[in-house]
Amino acid sequence: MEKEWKKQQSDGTIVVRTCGWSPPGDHPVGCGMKLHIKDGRLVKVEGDPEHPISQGRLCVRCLTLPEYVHHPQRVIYPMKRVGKRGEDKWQRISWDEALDIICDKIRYYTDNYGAESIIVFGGTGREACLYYYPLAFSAIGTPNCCYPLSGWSCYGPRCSITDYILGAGYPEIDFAGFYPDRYDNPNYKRPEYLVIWGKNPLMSNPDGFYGHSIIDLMKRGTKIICVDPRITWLGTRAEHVLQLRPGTDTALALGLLNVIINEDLYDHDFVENWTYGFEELKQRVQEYPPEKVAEITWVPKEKIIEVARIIGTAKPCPIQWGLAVDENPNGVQLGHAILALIAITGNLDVPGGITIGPPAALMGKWRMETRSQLSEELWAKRIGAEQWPALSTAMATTHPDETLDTLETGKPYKLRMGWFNSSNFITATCSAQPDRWYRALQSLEFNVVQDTFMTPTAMAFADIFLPLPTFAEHDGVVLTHFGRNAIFMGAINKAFEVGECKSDIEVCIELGKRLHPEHWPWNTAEEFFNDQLKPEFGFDFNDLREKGVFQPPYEYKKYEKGLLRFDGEPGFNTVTGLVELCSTLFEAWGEDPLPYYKEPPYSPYSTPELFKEYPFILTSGARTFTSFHSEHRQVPTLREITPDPIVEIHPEAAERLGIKDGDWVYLENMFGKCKQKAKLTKTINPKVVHASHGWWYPEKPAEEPSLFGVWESNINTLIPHKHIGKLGFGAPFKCLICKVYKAED
Amino acid sequence: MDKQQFLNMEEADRLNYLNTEAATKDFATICAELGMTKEELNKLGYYFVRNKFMAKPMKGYGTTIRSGNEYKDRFK
Repeated sequence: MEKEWKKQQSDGTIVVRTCGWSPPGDHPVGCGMKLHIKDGRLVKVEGDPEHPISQGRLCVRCLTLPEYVHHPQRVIYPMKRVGKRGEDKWQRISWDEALDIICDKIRYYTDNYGAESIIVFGGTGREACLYYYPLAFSAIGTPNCCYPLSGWSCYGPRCSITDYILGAGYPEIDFAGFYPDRYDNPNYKRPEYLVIWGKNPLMSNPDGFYGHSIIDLMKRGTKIICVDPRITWLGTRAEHVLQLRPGTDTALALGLLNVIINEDLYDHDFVENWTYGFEELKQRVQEYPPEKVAEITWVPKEKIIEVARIIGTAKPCPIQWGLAVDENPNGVQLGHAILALIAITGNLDVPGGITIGPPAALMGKWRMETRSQLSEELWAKRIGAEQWPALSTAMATTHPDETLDTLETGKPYKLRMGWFNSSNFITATCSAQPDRWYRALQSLEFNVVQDTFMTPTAMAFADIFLPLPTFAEHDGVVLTHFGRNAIFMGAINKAFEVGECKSDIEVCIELGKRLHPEHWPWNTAEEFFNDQLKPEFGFDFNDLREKGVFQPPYEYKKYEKGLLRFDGEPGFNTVTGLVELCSTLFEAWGEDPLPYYKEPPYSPYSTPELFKEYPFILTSGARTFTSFHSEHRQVPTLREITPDPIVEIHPEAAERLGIKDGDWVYLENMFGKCKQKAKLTKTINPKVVHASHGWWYPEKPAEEPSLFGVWESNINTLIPHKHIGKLGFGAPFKCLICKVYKAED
Repeated sequence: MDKQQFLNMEEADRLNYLNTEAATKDFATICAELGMTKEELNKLGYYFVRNKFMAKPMKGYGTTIRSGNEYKDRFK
């Protein structure tokens, strides 16, 4: 790129080139765009054709950014609550007053109850994933930093499993993102087939992957295999779709391994030199012949065999995994089995296969390092660390389900102050049974919320509201996969200001300087980014602005070259130094060291009596182009495209129930109910329904009990608390049961 | 050797010590002599795998140690 990042046009319009992040969610991809600013207002957003990854393409979320940025309901000044919690009564205050109040409270709770009585809640995606850990550990000084989703069911499980099995950072498909000339680079090899497992990357643009790269690859000849309970848009263009019963993915993965191993389709050289426990795995997969797996998954036996043969023989054939791994109590085993498939078929760290990175780098590493600023005694008080060693080894957070238990019981100690950094989690986003969280959170005595809009969570709990800038209003660095496999880095450039908003790193610095100045030497965000970039790359933040995007070179087959281990030895960064098909760590934690299938906790087979009353399998959480989780609900253009929460039902099932397309229906089970609008579609199995997540209604009354209608369409009220896997990961967000009936009200 | 003496050793020396012991003693005996449990050893990063002690080279992405394959290390 190497172009001017900011320039003025003849009509006075200023055009700023930047990379998107969030808020609002341009989920961590760093799409390139040009922001057109006139008279201090954002008037237009267009894709940046010179951005090597997104190449000028943008989705509707970024194109409607002006509506979001200048929305009349946006909160752009620090606010103090002057009424009771749940009342919409606020007073504008200065940043100094807000920080004075907050610091006094932090000092009070720390001095009287210990810093552990303060908890920081984070959410999905916002760059604050990088900053809410340091906010807790280093600025406030508490060991309790919580991602409240039951079973930590988003991304964390995949990272942790990779850490345990490969000793590496996030395994991403090789979409030539490291190369300025992309797919034409001579070192790159286009995948022959690409397996997309439980993911819809076109809509979600997940973490470090730009979804439309799949289209690029398809145009160049790559064939697609989709594993999904729904036939997605991509599925309709795939070579094969394995439309499985929700929650049975692990059985399918073991069935595929069965065929590949028994038909001798695996990479002998890799298996012999670089894996541990192949014979044990071989023995285990004998329990999963295709005919048995077909019965479990509802995928025809012939289809399982055909796809297994493709995975075993196509070169390369990477597998891209998604939330199906995380939102499943049997998901650790699924992740293990998928990594085993990738490894034994010779697709690991090869051109066009699966790339792997360091377990942490740059800000992603710094955020972890800040935890060393806490004493071991304080660190040991982290909620759930003792009970869940597997989770707490890989994750620096509390255990989410234990955190709810602690809020409800006051054990092992009472939590008194909450900081809601990047999470609107009483909507159906980042919690199971959010109604239960809502009641439990009432016990907190003082709360701070950082957000762009007054959300249901902020309205219910904030005592102080701190306004956040959008990514167009502050400086920053996009770091794909949070540094765990940074395919590229991009500069986020501040283009203009709205009100008095401060970014996460700016708040961390200001708060840190007041409470723990020894840990916060930086005066500005730019100084902080310079310190992160310069020692590693030799360039600073301003250089990155000029570059626009930096793509670090990539080295394949690092395991052969001693580039994966810090001791420089060949191999992987695991206990055995090999890819652990049989996991020493799982065994140490009392879990089966080999992958196995376990039926979902509620299903036609595990709870047949309940299934008579709740005869649908409920899956949820698929993404749309028009929202990122609970964000964007107030943007007029996006609401025009997606006005209502949608539940997908097969026409045959709907007819049986007297439901027509567009009818409002109730979804109900043992844990709760909610209302969504029926969309009849043959892309879903007649025994399965798919419901939307993240819904609230900014147009509805703000005050309690409505809280912007947060309970009306809240699908997570049907998802139970603490139905998690043995290692503490995974909850049944995508594999529950429910009944559906027409709403007459 | 007791637990405190073991903890006072350098990390590399600990692993050598454990494997010297493992050549002649079983895992339970080594644990008993050290006054440590399997979980305590695991927490320190030592695992008994097929009659041999191994150390997890780093504690995942929660580590505060350089992994060795950061950009600067790979492309000096």
